[in-house]
Amino acid sequence: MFGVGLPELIIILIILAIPAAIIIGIILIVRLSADKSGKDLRHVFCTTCGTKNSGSASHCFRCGNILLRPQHNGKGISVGGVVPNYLAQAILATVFCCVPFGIPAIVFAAQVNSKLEGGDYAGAVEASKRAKLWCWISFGVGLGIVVVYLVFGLIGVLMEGRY
Amino acid sequence: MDEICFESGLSVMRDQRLETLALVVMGMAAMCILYIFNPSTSVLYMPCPFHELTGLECPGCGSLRAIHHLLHGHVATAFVLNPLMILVSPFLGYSFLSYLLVTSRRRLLPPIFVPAIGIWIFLGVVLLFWVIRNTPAYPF
Repeated sequence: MFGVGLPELIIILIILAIPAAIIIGIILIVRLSADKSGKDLRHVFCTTCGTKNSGSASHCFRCGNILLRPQHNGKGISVGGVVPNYLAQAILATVFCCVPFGIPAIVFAAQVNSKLEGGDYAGAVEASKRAKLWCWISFGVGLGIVVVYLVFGLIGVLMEGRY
Repeated sequence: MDEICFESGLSVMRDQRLETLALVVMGMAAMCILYIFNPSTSVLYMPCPFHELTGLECPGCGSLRAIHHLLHGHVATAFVLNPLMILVSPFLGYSFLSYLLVTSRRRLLPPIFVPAIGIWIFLGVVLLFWVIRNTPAYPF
């Protein structure tokens, strides 16, 4: 009815699944090994020229600028007083996940910049966290719907031979 | 997890090149599929759940078809399918590029700081677009 048969669907699934599985596997392995050795904290990159410096350096050996240190704040690392507002991710969530959960993400993105302009740093960090949360909710719900659709689609194909 | 900032792109300590590579590979795979198969004739793409449930169009409806036509160079067709997507795509492209450069080459692009009033207006435009595209007044 839609001009797409079983072979096409299987090809697409293979195209998607194999690289995704390989990439996720590599990331997991590298993540685990990096967490154990802690090697990723040995270097700090200069934000001005991009040179890799040793973790203990205070100034970039190439351009001499002060190296900005990420600050650990318990859960994550925030850098130099800048609060991300996740606007790009919020737009992606609104346009692609097709779930109205992207709207609150845009609202909180706007609040981040409102509060930054008003000098309310703590409020901006709070709004930033919520913007991030809503982006993930939107992404998660969208992904869930896609998975359900794929599973049912595949069952339909296998039952009828042709969707 | 690390807070990579799209707007400022300041350095973080952990090396994220692998994640960035994964993101690029998956993005390119998605683009290839979108290029080859037309969402309006293929069953591979799921229909918008909001559209299925209500019969109305959401702000994102038509964006996959729009990207399919954009990849084929049909900008006008893409714009008719989803003008919102086409209008925000330069911003999204720049954000992604600056993310790529920060994580892969540790280079900074000039950050875009959208004033709060701009984001509120954008929100209004999205909501207005949502309503208007479901009325007979919608030109396309």
